[in-house]
Amino acid sequence: MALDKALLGRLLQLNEPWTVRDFRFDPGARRVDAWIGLEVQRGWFGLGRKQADQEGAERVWRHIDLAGWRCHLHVLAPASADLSALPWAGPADMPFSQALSKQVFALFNEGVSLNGICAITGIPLQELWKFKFALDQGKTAITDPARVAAAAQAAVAGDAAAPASAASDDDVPDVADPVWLQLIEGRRDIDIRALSLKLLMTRLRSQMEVITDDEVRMLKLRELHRYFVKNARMLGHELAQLRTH
Amino acid sequence: MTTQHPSALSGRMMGLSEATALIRAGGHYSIAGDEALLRQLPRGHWIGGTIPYFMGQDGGVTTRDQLYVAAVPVLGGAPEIRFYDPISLERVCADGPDNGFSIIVMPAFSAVHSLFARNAPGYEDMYIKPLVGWISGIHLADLGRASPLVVNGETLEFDGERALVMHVPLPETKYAQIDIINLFTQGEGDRIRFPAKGFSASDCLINDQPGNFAQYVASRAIDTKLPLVADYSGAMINVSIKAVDAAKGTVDFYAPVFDDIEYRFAAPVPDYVSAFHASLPAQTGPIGFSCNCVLNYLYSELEGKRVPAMLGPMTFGEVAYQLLNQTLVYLTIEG
Repeated sequence: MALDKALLGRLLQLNEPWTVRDFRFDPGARRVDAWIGLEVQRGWFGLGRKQADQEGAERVWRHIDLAGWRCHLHVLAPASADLSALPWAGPADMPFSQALSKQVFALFNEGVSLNGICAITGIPLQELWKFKFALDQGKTAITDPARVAAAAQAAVAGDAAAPASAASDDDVPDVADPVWLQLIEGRRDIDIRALSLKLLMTRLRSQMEVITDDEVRMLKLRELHRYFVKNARMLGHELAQLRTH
Repeated sequence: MTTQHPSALSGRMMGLSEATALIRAGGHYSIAGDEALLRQLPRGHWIGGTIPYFMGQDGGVTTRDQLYVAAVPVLGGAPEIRFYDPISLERVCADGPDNGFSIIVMPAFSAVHSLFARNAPGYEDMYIKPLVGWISGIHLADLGRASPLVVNGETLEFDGERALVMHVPLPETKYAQIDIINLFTQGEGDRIRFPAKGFSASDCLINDQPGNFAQYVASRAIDTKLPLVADYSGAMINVSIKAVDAAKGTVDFYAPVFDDIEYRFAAPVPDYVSAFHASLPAQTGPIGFSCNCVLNYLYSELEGKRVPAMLGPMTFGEVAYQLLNQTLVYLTIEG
């Protein structure tokens, strides 16, 4: 195999001081495993330098595929290293790198079913469940820190300029209508008759209390909106209250 | 919206020969009864579960000689009957028709029963697609000697480990609606929270103060026939007490408690039958399915008492989207 560590590092978009220490291809499984760590620091005139910090335990994340090859990254990093800004790393207890998490999250947002995501990405259903569960529990985040500020600014501007609820063809306010955020955050209450909405609203509000990531919160908001669109026929009482606000 | 009085029932108690004739005549059915009777039914489009407790047209009854047979309203395409194991169970709602409903039967004490109880609220399409059903059981005298079962009438497979589901599509002009009648409301007692979801609990917060739940129940001599009740945006959702072991400091439940909701013990219901009549909805569409809890049957001594309008098996657990206890569940067809 002509591919070398340096080229693989570039494909993975590693930046110094991170480097590919080793890799292994499994053509049968179309899988590549790469071991990533800090470059070995060389001292002047070949004198070795003391490692700044002890490496912690190896952590493994599934990363986005490389040209159809499933990519698993084994990362050995100092225990004190902050990996949160690295797209090829992920949270310690999660199965996916941040880059793959964003890809999966985008598919969730497009309404792709769990089985559909499994088919597209090749991710085992069990791992996808773990990821979805973490999203629901507010235990993982998707948003780039830089985008949070922009999103917050946009939200403030949106609140100020938001029109009254604009009903869609189904008499369900558009997903961008502020009423959904008010509902799901418990800042607006309506009288609910439908059992399914009582159960769903309680669950979503409970999740929103612990979810801080803006994009995950938006996912929950879309879930509520989708429920209303799918069940509009039995929600006349509830929708009438949304329209009067 | 078409409205009818809820007496437009889809099911009733009947003998083996009548049930056999119905199945052979065609149609789709949800059937509950003793295992020995279910094993004598012919192949057909039906799903079933074992139970000997019923609310029949003549009142509450414990019987191994009759079946409760409910016609499933088939107004759209052909329903699909499918088993779900612990791996595929999380697909149960997602597999449901875009417009329609699904009836699920799960064997009590099985892994799917436990998994569903704990994880159903997180399943894909949960609450979006109507899911209703029950937990099959056994005669309490047979505990330790018999196992709760479900049966696929199309293949006559009996199973004690898998859930059985009938997915029923409806035409665009109709839709299914699930509701509950729960006579229990939160009492005026302490607020209770649990640190983790599960079928048993030791530690809890009582009015925000740490405590042991078993000791709390024992020290206050709380009537454990009364369930814990959580308020889900106005829907009262019960968790029934199975056993209290004050020595070990644990309390077991018939459904899991969750860590993200507050509970209180229920206020007593002095007369179940009267309260039930008062709680009946004035008008609904035709009843497509209904069941009630065996604990209501036992604790409220419903044997021989007539509770019209909502008949069905008295079960080891009810499903109205998620698993419920001590609650009547029903599905209506509207539109």
